[in-house]
Amino acid sequence: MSNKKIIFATIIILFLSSIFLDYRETLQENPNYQKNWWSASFDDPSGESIAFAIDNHSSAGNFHWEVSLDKKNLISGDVNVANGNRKDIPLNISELGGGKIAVTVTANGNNKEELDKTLVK
Amino acid sequence: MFNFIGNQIIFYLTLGFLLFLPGRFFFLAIFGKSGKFSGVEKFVIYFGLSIISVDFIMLFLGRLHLLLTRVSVIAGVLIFSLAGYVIFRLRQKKKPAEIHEQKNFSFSSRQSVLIILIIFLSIFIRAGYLKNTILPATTDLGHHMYWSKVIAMSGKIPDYSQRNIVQVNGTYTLSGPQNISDFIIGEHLIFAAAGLITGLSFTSYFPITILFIVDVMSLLTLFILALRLFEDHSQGKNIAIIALLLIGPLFALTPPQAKYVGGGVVGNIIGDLLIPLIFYFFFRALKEKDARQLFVMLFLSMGIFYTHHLSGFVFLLSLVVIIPIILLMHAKELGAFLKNWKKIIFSPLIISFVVFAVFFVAVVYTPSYLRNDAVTTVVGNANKSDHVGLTFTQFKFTVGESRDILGIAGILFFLLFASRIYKKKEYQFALLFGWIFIVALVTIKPEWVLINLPSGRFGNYGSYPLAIIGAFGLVQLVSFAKNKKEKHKFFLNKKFFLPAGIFALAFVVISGFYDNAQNSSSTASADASIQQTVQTLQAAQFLSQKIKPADNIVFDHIYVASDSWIKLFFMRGYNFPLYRANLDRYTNGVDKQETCTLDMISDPNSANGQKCFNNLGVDYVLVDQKMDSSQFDKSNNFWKIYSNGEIVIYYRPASDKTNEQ
Repeated sequence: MSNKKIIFATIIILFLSSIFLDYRETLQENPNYQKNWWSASFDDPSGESIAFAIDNHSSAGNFHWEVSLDKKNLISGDVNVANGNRKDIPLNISELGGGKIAVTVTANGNNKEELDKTLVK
Repeated sequence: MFNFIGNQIIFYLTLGFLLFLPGRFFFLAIFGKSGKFSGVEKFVIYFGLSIISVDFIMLFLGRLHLLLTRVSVIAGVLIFSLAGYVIFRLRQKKKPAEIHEQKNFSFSSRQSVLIILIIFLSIFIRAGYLKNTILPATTDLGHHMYWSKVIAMSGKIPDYSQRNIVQVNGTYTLSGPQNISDFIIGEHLIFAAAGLITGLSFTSYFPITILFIVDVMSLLTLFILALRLFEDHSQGKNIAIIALLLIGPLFALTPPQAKYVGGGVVGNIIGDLLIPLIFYFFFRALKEKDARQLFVMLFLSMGIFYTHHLSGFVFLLSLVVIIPIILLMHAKELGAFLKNWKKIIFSPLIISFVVFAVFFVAVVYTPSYLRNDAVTTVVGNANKSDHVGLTFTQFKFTVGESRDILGIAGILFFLLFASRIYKKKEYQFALLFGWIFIVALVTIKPEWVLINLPSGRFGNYGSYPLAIIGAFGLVQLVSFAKNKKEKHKFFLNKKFFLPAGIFALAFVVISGFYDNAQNSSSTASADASIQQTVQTLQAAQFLSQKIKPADNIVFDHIYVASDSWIKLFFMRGYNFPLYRANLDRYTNGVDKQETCTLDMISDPNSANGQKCFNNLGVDYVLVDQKMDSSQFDKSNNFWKIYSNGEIVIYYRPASDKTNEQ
């Protein structure tokens, strides 16, 4: 009888602990749960397009972006991206000359990410 | 939430199916409904036998060129279990069930409560630590899960190889597949089986949950071993309970416990389950002169060599010490002793095992380290700084200070009782002594036995035998203090003995829990590293969706969190993407024979860095933003195409893609 009690208790404790851990992991792997980060990325990393996307997993909702050519501002804009969402910025600037094109994205006025491509024309 | 619940139901049903069913029927085939085993013993044995059985079933399927799929694995386990049941019924017809009385496995209510409390604490403390590390993040586990995923995706037993960077006629290129000896198939099959049946992602909770369960079962394995070893001792049950205390809740986080679980040190975790189980059957085979016990011991021994050669090595070397001691015990009637064992060894059951083992190794699957002649690499003088041995003090802290001190007390009692042990042929002392002697010797003085293995990892094996020896030492200390003539009086003054006893117990418990506290991580730092892991995995996922078949990637291992998991998003070879390793690996003369992976990240604009990029066709670089972005930012050779605050990815447009992976 004592053996059954020990086995039963072990299975129950182990089972409950494992479920707890499994649930914790599903929360942890969720990029939005208790996280505070966001990303900026080019849609076409190897091509000349400068269309980019913002993936937001932070509390920041308002993003400001600027595109510059050799540090000269070309175009800018604001976009609202809710937590857990992704926003594509489909820029199509075909008549750009050669040089370093930089995309600067700022979240809520302070947190900044930069992307760039150096194009040769 | 419903998705989670559904996955959980499938996952735990799968675990029951894989980690209980085959072992249950294997046991039934060998022992029938024998009363020789208590419930707790069977519970533990089914688990251990199942892990090895699933490995062998999958290897058989692989040899038959059947694809390893959900259906084939389930069918394989069912056919195996059915075969076990048929053998059981056939044997039952010939021979009715044996009835054996249990003499050591029923516990009083207090003992039961104490055992359950210890188990509860053991699990609770581990789970408390693992709640911050359950997200797959560690290097070792990433490597292992790559191979498990290879099995699940290809349906085949993998060929452990990778393509390395070599220089041919002044040009860097990728070699053909070169063998890897670090991995053993048994470390990956059980995860592959669980992944195949459940369909869960390999970058999810299930690998660490399986390791967590294996670790907890290894505690119970040690418990049943201690019970059997001391079944004739008047305090046998107390020794086993104290052993459970010393291995369970105390030092619960330090390696080889929760840290190895969270760290994904798969081989050691499974090895620490199998070694005590093998010794369990070894001891019973010796004591009961039972061919069936020997058969299961041999089956599990074979299994350990298909799972983790280091653990197998510990067991094999221990036998080198244990067997001569046992022969010495029987020196006076050696002829009769050997004759008796000759009968057992040449019994049909053992001969059939030998035939099976030879067939399996020769025809079904030869472990990779035998094919690669890797055994020779562990023999000789140390070739790495962590192979040179630990000092005694380091060893003491590796196995747990109080556990070590109690263990020394236990060994002193062995010596004190040596004459009685010799006369009464008490095998348990030979077994425990041989086990700890080898672990201590190889850990502290590897040069004496010319063993070239990581000393710390070897030392960790000591905590298991020391838990039993320490428990014996503690019980014996208390017994020793008693006056044998007047049962309830003490040698020492009772007024002194009681506080001294409380002090000793407090030292052991506090030392164990202090160690737990030292190894805990703060929630804030855990949250930060969890986010870093998620950022790495998200960056890897982004890249995996963007690259073309001809593209090549290099990433950094030094600063990028959870980097070993990146390759699971590509599944294009163990060495894809290429990576910059820890810096000492480029200079120790053993690990890295090239500097391309170093130069492409540390000095990407140097002549050699550029040559490596061109020769190897590397287009993408994934690095830590704070530590490694400046050398890329200031160069026009690289485009920054992804940035998430932790990870940046660069694209190099001018790569010469002549060496595709």
